[in-house]
Amino acid sequence: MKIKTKLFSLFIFFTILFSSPFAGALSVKTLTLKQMVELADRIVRLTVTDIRLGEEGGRTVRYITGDVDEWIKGSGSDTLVFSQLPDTGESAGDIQVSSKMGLPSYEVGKTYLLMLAGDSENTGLTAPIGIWQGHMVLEKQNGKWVVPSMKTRPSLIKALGKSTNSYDDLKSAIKTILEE
Amino acid sequence: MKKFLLLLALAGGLFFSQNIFAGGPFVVNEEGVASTWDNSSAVALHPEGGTCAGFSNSQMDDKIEENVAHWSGIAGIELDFALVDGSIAEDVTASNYEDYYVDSSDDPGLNDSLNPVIFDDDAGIVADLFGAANRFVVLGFAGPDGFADETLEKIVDGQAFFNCLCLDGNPNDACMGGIVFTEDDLDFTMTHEIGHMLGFDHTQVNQALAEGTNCDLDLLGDCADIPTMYPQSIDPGDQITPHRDDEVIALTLYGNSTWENTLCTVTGSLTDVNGDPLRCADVQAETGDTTDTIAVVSGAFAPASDDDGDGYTDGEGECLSDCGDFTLRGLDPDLDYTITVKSIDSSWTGGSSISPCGTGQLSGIKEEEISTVTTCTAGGTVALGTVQTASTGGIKEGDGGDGDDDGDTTESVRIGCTLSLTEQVDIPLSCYLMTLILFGLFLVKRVGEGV
Repeated sequence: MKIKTKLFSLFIFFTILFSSPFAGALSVKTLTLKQMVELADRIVRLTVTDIRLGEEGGRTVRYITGDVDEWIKGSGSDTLVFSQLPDTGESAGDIQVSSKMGLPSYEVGKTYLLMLAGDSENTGLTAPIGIWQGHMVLEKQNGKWVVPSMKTRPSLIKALGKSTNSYDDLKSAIKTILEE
Repeated sequence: MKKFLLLLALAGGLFFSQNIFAGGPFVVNEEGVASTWDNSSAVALHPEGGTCAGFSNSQMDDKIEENVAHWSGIAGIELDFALVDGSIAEDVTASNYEDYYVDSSDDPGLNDSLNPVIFDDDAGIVADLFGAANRFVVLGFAGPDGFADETLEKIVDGQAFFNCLCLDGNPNDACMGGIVFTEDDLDFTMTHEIGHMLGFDHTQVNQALAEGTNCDLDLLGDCADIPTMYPQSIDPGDQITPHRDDEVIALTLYGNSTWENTLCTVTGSLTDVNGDPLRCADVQAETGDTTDTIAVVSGAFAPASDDDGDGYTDGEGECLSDCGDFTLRGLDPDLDYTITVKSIDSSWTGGSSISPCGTGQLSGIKEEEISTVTTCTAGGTVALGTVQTASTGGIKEGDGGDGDDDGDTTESVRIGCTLSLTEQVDIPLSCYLMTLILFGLFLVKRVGEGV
């Protein structure tokens, strides 16, 4: 345990030491809901339970772990772990990453609708499809899940055929696409 | 003991986490100075030797020149680019991009004097970094990655990657979902991303136009008033050419000494309903014609310190002074402007962020007209002074650090050693060595104790 603690501390040290300074930004193609659903390898409603940094292939990555409340596309266990470039400047426990490319961020305890790309064969890394497009924070209002950011996503509103922020409506539209 | 190890690890990391990012400009230092390239000479770009879908290498050179000219061609700007062919003669792919891609502070790429422009012909690089199917979606990414010294005032290194996979004529693969990157997508992405590399942040000017459903992708000019630096690609063909708001941030950072002589400026300082400085409000100068809209975020140029190392300066106490200040430049003295305070859309965070509140926008800002400007003269300034708004969310200006009021030792660590992004050869080396020696001594001691 003590050896593990030392190794872990060394790992954290070098992880932060060599964290990325890159101040970049991404441009992505705006997708329709149909395209997002087709391209996503997994679509889940997930509550994040843990975020930690690690190293994979000589690169610092962020592991996001969550309880899957609902598999909408794909299947798997009740727990999902995926890795994404650490980036947005948010902290993960005691570790803070200083880089900024603007990939989606996560918070422990928050619930998301995630449409995830398949993991890279080379690096194991992934990200939501369309980066921010496949990443939606969910909130409960009056006992029902809503997608507060829906109003800034005209392609989603267009797909739903009405101005709504209802998660159930969105899920229903996704399922319809999957059944086609 | 575990806590001490973690603290030591965190302390070491904090030595190397002093970069600050803020709004309008992409990177602002602790003195409130925006990072820029040295425009006394041409900014060098080093295109790789490969192709991009149906575009030959020389055609891609032409395309880069054509798109960067959208910035260098702005009247009153002092900015030139030099394409340097041959420095990256090879075709850069997923198998060798790590030689050029800079993603860490120990990366030799920070000191190689190369500003690579990479054509990801089969999107293997994008797939490596963002997952398999995002190779059909990510158009490109770019930014500054190296600075001359710890002040962060001068950018000396940058990089740009453009995805070619779904461009018409690419024989590498078929793109799923019927996705096609048009030539407009490529041109817009180049202009927008090179804008970031130059130090320009996003803007939400003319958001209503962008969120409407009236943009016809086949019709050139109907949505030309959506800025190039708008966080989303709404109508790429129309967004390639910089809007007036894009021109003003470009001129603010790279304008010649006389660019403002024929234009006017409006200054002010916002407070919230309680009289506290109001940072992160979008102050827009509008005429009724979306062509003319110019915006600036209050406090975007305020001296600020990234005490919590999260890459933004929107934490408590991180804005040091002038936090509600704004300066609207580039106004036409022949026009009458309405100056309106607007909230920044809550969606503009992270990758779409409009800084300095990059981790979350204020929710208490009430849209209100604060002035009409009808008397602005060429070369003149209209000073609105302190403007109390009906908004909430004002802040207490910080004291340059966290004051250790949270019980941690962040401030003492930061004083010990400050790392700039390209300094890993000089001062950073001493930082590295100091930290490593401390840590090494600790480990030797612990091993000696048989732990």
